[in-house]
Amino acid sequence: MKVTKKLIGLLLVLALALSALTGCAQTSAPVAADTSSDSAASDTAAAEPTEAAEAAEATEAAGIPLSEIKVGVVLNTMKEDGGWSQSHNASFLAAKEQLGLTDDQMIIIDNVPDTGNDCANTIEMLIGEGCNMIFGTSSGLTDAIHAEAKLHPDVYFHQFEGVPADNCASYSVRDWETMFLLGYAGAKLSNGDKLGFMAAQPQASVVRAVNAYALGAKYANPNATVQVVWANSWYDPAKEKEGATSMLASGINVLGYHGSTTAVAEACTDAGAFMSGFHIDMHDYAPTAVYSSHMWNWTPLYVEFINRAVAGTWTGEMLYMGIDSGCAQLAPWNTDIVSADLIAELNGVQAKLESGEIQVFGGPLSDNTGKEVLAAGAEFTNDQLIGMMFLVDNVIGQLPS
Amino acid sequence: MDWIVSVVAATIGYAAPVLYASLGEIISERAGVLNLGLEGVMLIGAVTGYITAVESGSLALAILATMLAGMLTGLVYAVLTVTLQTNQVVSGLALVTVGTGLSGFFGKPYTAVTGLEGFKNLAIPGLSQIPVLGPMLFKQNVMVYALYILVPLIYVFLYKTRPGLKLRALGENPGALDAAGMNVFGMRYLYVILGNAIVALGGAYFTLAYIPGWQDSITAGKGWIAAALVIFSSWNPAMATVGALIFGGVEVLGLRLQVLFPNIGIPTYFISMLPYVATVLVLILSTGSFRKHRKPGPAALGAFYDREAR
Repeated sequence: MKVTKKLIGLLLVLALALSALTGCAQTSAPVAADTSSDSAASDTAAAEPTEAAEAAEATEAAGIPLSEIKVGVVLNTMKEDGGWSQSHNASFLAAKEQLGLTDDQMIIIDNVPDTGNDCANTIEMLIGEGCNMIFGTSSGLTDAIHAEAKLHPDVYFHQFEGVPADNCASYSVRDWETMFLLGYAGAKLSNGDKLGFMAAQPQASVVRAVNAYALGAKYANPNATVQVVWANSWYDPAKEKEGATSMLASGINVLGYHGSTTAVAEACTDAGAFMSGFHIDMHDYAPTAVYSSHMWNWTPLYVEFINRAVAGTWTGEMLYMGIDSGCAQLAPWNTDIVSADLIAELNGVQAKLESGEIQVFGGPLSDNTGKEVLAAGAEFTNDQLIGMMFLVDNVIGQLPS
Repeated sequence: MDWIVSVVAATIGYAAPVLYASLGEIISERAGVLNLGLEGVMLIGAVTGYITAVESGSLALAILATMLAGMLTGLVYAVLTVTLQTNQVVSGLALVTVGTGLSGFFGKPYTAVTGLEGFKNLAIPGLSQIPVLGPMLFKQNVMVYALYILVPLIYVFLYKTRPGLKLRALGENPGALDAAGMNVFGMRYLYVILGNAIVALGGAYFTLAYIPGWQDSITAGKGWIAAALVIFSSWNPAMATVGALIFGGVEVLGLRLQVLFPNIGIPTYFISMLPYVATVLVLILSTGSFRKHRKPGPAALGAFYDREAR
């Protein structure tokens, strides 16, 4: 009797293990060979860098020949997470295609936890496979990447919003340019001076987005204010829905958004309110509510880094790209919500952003406690941008002290 | 006043899924079976309900499918813990992993598919006209109204009926029930399966009523809150209701205060810490020397029943 019970038990455990495996098979196969291009990010990759690559090959003396480039990528979540990692994955595949790299010239490892030794071990493995360019796409991987960069001085490292070093470049996208435009449009769509913003964690990258949205709103309407509600969680649909509902119930009818759930879209649809999307084109979540979305496209950045390595001009510096290069992108304006006149107006503002006539974080700037944070004519340093921890003067809300 | 009414109404709506999970777990633990897999069962319920609703267009069918899926997880869990006598803590944690993985896998094509009508808030004619209480209690969705019936029902069953007495005995001293000629294994199967059906409804609340929509790990840890609630409710459905409302109230206030008093000077981290402070506080108040009639958990909770070892 006992023996049969044990046998049944073992069988059940095996069945559980197998069912768990089938669940993983599709999502966490370590090496990416497929070309899933369903993310919006890959649709509009910049076209010109191919020529740059050819030009670079002519002067290959100092750099690595394109055929010997091998790119290793560490993603911190699953590459089909519908947000952050998915956008990076799609951009790497687009860069590979643009530059004509072969399948074995790029290894993408996803779902690498940014705690513990997993990142360092993964990088060791990638270098063991012959990778000479390593990319880390989450700021949580910074420490591990920097430590590995010291151990492998002959490998080019790239860290999202890290600190540049000899063989470690850092990069980011000026998402504040698109957020500025979304804030501008929001202020024009609002039925009052007060807008809302549903935000995830009070962390620098989110704070920057909130500030840019508020500055854009102020540019459109000098009296505009933006009420921010923090969910204090990167992912909690129920909380985000409740937070959005509480703003909508107070009479606000336009929300900015920084997060990756469908909950705010549902709340806005129910209330007949408008919102901007984030990460991906959220139009399909709420066709009557989403007026446009900020989208990531990392392709131009990745192509640029690889081209620099080929040309021998690679340096360990901080590289920002914005709306002018297509790295920060807007989903098409929802013409059911945004009038043709407003779109024309927005295009004018976008042109000024692209030409640099409008500097989103240009001085003078003061925070919402009245303190001046940037003098007239001054500019933020990289560190100040990466670590932004204040709310501009027309944001209603607080940051943890 | 309007503001207080809206906060209380939102609190009830926010607390409901946690309460569903707690009620299911109370039934299961009263039968002596510890099930820490609430998060996994909720997710399976959530995804099953959503897929059924989208495919069939019927919310009633979705609720039925949710409960069946919950019962299935209950059956598997009962086979593991009652018949095969595996460690209940480990099996429960395994259930979380399996539930998260399976729901993510089968839910993938339905991720971010929006547009399902779901259970809308429904004002009950008459009752919703009562000043203050009406808009607080009777402008909710059907799944909340179901709780108004379920909580007293489970309470009366547990404390006022003979089968309820047997259920409590099952978790205290299964040997005595066995000696009295009762089928301990059969009863444990029954209550674990029943309990999980109710837990699964807690998950479906997110996908069919609150959001509605499916996304990976949509419960975002509420299953763990529910497991903690069961302990501080002393396995009592009425206390679990109070606990769920405290949890919901603190969460809702944490968000609403940011709108009402943006300059109050309370850091948001402090506000988001409150649910945990409240949990610890209620735990201290409900156990130990603070309480004259101490009620520890069911005596046989977590221990498997082995006739041969009697």
